[in-house]
Amino acid sequence: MDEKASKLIKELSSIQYFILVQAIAIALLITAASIFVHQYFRYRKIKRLYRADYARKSCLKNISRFLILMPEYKSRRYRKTEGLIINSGLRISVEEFYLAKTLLFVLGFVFFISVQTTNNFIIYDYVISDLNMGKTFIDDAAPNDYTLQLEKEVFIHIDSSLPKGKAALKELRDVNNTPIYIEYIEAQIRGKWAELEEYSGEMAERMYKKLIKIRMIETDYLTYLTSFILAIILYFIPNIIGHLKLILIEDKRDWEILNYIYVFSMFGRMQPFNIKNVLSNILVISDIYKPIVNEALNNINSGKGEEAFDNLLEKAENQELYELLESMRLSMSTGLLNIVDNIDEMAANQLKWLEIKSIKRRKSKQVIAMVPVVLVMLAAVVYFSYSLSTLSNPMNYLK
Amino acid sequence: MKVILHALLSRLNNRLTRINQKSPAQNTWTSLALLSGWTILGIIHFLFACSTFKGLWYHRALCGFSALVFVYLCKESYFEIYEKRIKKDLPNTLKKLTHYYNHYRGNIIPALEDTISVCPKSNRVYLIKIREALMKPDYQMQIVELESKMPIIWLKMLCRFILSAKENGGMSSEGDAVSNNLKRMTNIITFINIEQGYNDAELLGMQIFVFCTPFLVIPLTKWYNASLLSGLNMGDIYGSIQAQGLTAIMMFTSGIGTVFIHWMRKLQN
Repeated sequence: MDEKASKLIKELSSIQYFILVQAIAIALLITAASIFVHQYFRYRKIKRLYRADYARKSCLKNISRFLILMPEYKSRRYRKTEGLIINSGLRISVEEFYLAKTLLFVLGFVFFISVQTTNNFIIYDYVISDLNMGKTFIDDAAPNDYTLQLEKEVFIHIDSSLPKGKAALKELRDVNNTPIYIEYIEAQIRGKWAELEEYSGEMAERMYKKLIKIRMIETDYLTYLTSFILAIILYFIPNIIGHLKLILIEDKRDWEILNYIYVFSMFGRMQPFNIKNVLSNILVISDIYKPIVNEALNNINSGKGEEAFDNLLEKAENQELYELLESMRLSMSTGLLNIVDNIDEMAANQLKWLEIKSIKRRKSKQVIAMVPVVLVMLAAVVYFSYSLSTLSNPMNYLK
Repeated sequence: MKVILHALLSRLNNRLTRINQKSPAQNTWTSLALLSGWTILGIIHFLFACSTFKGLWYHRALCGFSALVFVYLCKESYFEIYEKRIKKDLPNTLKKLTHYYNHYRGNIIPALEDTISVCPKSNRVYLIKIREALMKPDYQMQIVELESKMPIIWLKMLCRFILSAKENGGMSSEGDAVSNNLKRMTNIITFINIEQGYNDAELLGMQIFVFCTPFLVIPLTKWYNASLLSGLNMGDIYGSIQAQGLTAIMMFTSGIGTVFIHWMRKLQN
């Protein structure tokens, strides 16, 4: 952060609210870092005694006690999160999910607050050392070291002679009070800097404007509230990713089932003509439905017949997957070769169906992908028009 | 640092090994060269991004983030080009293999040899590896091992078909199952390539647009406005904290947006 500005703020008043907020943010970061370091050493200690996997789980469980909004084990919220993680294929535990959320919040909060404080410090310094306040850019005077130092000294003096208790922002901004305040400031300047008499009126007006601006910065809590809101949005990012993935993964689910159907059709016609061979080949290409395929294969390996698929049929939410599993179940009693022709028909239908679905989904995906496109375009337009607004009327370019 | 570098190199090496089927040792220098190339590109990107800012700490952090996104996208694009070419050429390779397989009446080794000489270059290495594995006495084990190293699922399936053709001559009570299955596989891969190609094309365009926008808008706007405003002593109008904030927002949105669309593309295939 700007050293000059921090020095200036210290000289001006006691402790500003944004310094307090920054201190809270840093304390939060230090707490999170200490917990992380403590847990890391704990992990290394447990890893030496047991397996790395056990150490990782134990540390995660321990860390989850520090996560304020972590739901209780097997509570409704816990099960809901677990469902989201499984369905969207995030492949993490509920504890890791909440750890990611909390870390995003803490890091986001510290980052946004620090950015805001840096900006505040810079604006603070800029306002106080601005010699051309209220002038058009044509009348700009080039400052030198002496005038800058003098400007700061005068402002510090005025700020201390008109403390917040004596002159609240509301009173300062009241148009009826403006002449009185300017007169008072002018008298203060004349009293302490007699050599400035010629410019005291102009300077007093400037100091008055500066005082209002500085007091406004000191009471602008809204900017920090935005940082807090942004950090809260970051906290929900894992949830947003999970839900978005649920929508976007639909396509992949259908492609995967189409692949299953084709593999069934191909390996159903090859030796040793059994469903176990078909399933073991499907397992090679499976990803989203791997747990279901694996369970079916394990059930068959453990000697179950048609009942190997009973449980899985209840789990299958996708209609095509349901039909495929049902065909597999039927093939156990009717024989694989009798079913394979039906599977070919199913593959042809699925191809047509996917063609239609793809057109529909392409549109919805375009809408989702348009969000970053529009945001970037908006930022680009605002960026371009930033100077154009000045260019259209340069006399408005008031510093 | 050493641990991170080692992990990065080994991941890169594994992915390269899957694609070009060379040994990890043979790929070490290629991986190192790629990593160095991408790092240099990342540094150039970082310097360019830094030149648009006045140098506040969070601006530099943002430039670092943007450079990381750039390097990640360079890496992904490099592998994507390779993998897409393999997928695109696979139906042609399968067609030729089916033709020679039928020509040699289910004799897979000469069919593979003839296919290797005429198939697209991107698929040749896999067929050579399959033929080499089949020539060994423990060919079943070799094929299983090879299957785990294949970059796409259809090449894994091909390994299984070829193993079956070698073991059973492709003949079954229903006729030549391997030949029919190769035809089926050709059809499905062609269909998938076309459909997923459509899905991908639009999103790819958007991804490139989102990524390139700041790099076109920032220098062009600066140049255009600086030339107009320099006479008015306002050449450095984009040096103000508001303009710098806008630049930061644009670069951040572009970085996040690009990664998001890339993630969308990756998820759908």
